[in-house]
Amino acid sequence: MQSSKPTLDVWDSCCLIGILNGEKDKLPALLAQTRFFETGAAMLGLPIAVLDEIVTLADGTSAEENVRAFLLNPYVLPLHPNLEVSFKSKSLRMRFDSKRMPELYDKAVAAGVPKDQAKKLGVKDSEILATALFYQAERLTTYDPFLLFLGREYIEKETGMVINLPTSPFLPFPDKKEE
Amino acid sequence: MPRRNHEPKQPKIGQGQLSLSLKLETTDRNRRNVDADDFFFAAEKWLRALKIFAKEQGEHVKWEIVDLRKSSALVEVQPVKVKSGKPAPQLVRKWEQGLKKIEDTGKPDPKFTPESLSALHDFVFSIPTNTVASFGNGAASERHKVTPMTQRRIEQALAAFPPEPRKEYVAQGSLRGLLAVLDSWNPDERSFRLKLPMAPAKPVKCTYRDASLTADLGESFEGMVEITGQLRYRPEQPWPFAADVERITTLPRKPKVSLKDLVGLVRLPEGQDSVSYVRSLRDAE
Repeated sequence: MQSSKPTLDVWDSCCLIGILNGEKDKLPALLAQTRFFETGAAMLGLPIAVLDEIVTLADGTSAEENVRAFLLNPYVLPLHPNLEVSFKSKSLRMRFDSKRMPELYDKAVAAGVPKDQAKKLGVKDSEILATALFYQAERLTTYDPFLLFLGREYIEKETGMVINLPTSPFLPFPDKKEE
Repeated sequence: MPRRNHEPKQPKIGQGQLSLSLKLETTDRNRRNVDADDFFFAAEKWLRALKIFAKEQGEHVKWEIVDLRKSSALVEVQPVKVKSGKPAPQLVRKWEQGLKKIEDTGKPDPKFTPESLSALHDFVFSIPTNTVASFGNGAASERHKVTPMTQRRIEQALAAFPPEPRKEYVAQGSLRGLLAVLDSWNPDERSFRLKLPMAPAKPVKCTYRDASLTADLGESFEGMVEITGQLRYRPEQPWPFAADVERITTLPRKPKVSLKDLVGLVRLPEGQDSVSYVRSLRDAE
């Protein structure tokens, strides 16, 4: 554990499930983050909503024990919802709803979000986004097209939190220190 | 055409809701000029309300002054998109429509989130005494005064939203951190400090009653533990400042299972990848 504050990288469920499902298009970038976590440069934030989906998927399978052991790693940080997360989540849902923000749908579709996902921010998505914002994460890593769109269009400009795929290095990794 | 950069003192009638204005007048007949402090104080609150409204609408705009007059202490601003430099008239319309609905009904309008309505409330209740403020939208005939009824309606609308937590609060949960300082000598207040990875400068004071909770912590001293119990938060602070501990779990010092050990342990239904699987889960809720 480093004495300075590490970077908080919050992962959406699709990242861990992508690893569990062995998805070749996602594995290299996701596994590349391991060294940031294991050297203490970053913490892996997992909102309870994400943990719930991961644990439910692994429950009763041969993966259960390994998932449980993985979640006990010192770099894994379960992020609990609380009152403020709930209020923030509600505000995000109220805001990112095409009924209240008519231009949202057209903008999202133009940005490549599938039409059936472009109307509004869902309950669990808003809880995950609110959790990442509340805990002041530097980054929310996801493959979800609507969350990626909201990140590019609104969230990053307003809060500085990046919402992106795990492709671009978000930390200037101290390679020199490694040598 | 927007009026910015072009003859800012031209008549406004017919300009069609491209801008919003604030006018202050003194009610003191002997002193016709508006006090500069009063004007800038009210204007600052008004501009803050507009900025929060734009932000909550997802508009990245700046507000440009398109008219400023001494005689009536009037300032008129227009939202301009930062990226394109083009006016954002829809923002003006939304503000006007939302404000009108609130003034007419005293109920919240979807265009105003709790944050933007709160800023509007802050403005209308900060208008200096002996001063009359008027909202406008660029057309002189559309200007109307902020009255006690306006204030009442906005207050009613704001009260219709559930209250946001503003005081310290307690939530049941768990928290991971480094066990730093252990003070188990005083049986009335046994406690230890938990140093959080994301807030190392603000250790959490963890109190516990059951002395056996720390009996096995020798190995974990200065190691990672997870505490479970009642976590005490201050408003807008992501990490608790104190905790009443009910359980302590020692975490392994080194990873036993890494991310790469999880590869391929689960097989999703045919035709689904992680993204479509998660979407199907969430859409079904």
